Amino acid sequence: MRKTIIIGTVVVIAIAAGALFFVLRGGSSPAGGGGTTGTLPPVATGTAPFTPPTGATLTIGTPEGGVVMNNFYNTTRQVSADHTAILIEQTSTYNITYYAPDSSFNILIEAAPFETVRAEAEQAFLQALGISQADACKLNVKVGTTIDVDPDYAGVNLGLSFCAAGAFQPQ
Amino acid sequence: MNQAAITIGTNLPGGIPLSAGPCGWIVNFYYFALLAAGILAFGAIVYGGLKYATSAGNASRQSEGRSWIWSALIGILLLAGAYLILYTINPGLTSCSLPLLSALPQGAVNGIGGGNGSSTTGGGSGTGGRCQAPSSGPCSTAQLQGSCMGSNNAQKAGGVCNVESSGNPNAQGDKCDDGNYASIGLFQINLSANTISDPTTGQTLNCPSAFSNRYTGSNPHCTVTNQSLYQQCLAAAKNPTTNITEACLLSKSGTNWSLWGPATRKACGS
Repeated sequence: MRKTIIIGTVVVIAIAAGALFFVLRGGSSPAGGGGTTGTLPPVATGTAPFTPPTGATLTIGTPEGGVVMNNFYNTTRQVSADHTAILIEQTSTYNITYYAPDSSFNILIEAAPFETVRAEAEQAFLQALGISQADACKLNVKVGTTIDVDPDYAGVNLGLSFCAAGAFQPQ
Repeated sequence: MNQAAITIGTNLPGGIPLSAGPCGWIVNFYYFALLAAGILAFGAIVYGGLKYATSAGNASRQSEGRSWIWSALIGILLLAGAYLILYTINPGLTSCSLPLLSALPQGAVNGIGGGNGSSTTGGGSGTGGRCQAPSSGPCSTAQLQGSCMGSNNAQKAGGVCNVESSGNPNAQGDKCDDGNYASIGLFQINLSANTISDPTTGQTLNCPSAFSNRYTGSNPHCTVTNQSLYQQCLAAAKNPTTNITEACLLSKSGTNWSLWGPATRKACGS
């Protein structure tokens, strides 16, 4: 009996010491909720081989069918290191970027007046992709501006002016 | 008068980092109680074991030793059990987070227009929304949930990202005197004030050293003095993954947006 208790004590001490060590080394954090800062995941290093789509055209699928367009990878000004953002067109007043993970386009208006710059950007968008207005309306396109340019319109999707669903008219 | 910078004990014994805020205090207290109770239980078991081992057949001392050991074991079980019971009932009970208050859309207050539009136009088509995460692109909640912002803060982070850049990774703002821009990318990271990690090499780029001085609201005058370094910083900040990671660091994983401009804080809150 005495032997059993001594061995048991030693085992318990070892387990307690192990558990304490685990806690002190930051194993699990049971109450580590909103007040704590999470561990940042590793950043994509961009070292993975990247093969852009080849050919003169490419097709992007939409709920209303595929849209065939110019392969803008051939004429892109810049591809981000993680290969997700492709800069299609950039001027001093707007830029057009494609975001590959969800096949969305982003037209950023970087100067006023919106009506004029949006019209220029839309024309450049159609020209760069070589598509019609009807096809453009099938795509996922966000048209917006930043809070630095205009706090009132920042965060609003102005949409493509010629599409029924995106005909927000800035005033 | 010169003052030396002193860092006051920032961690609990054992290297457990201290957290700030009400939730942080609870977490800190829990860790401290866990540490103290663990040490006490350990000491009680050792004491009880020694007492039993040296009882020399004395029944009273043996009983006392056993009692010490059992009491310590029950203490440890209670300590671990508190967490296990709460976690079994609802895992959310073991996670402390304060509710976030976001600004109401203007239309919802004054009843004018479509609700999601700008305050000056009183609405619009409702296709966007002030400080709301967009439905697609790198600022969408779906994309940010998988980032270091986490599921709790992804929505607000998406709103900040949306007003800062409209979700465009190539957005540029805060123009210096020489035509170069200081604030870049999804969260408009101010390169004249912050270092950034180079996504191709993993090295930290000392971007502020590429500028003559820091671009601020009160001193919006700067020039780029190291064009080569600036271009590296520019490419890094335009990389969506890098920009989100940097915003994570600066906003403490999306919980504190006080470093962003007053217009953004007004629209989205700190």
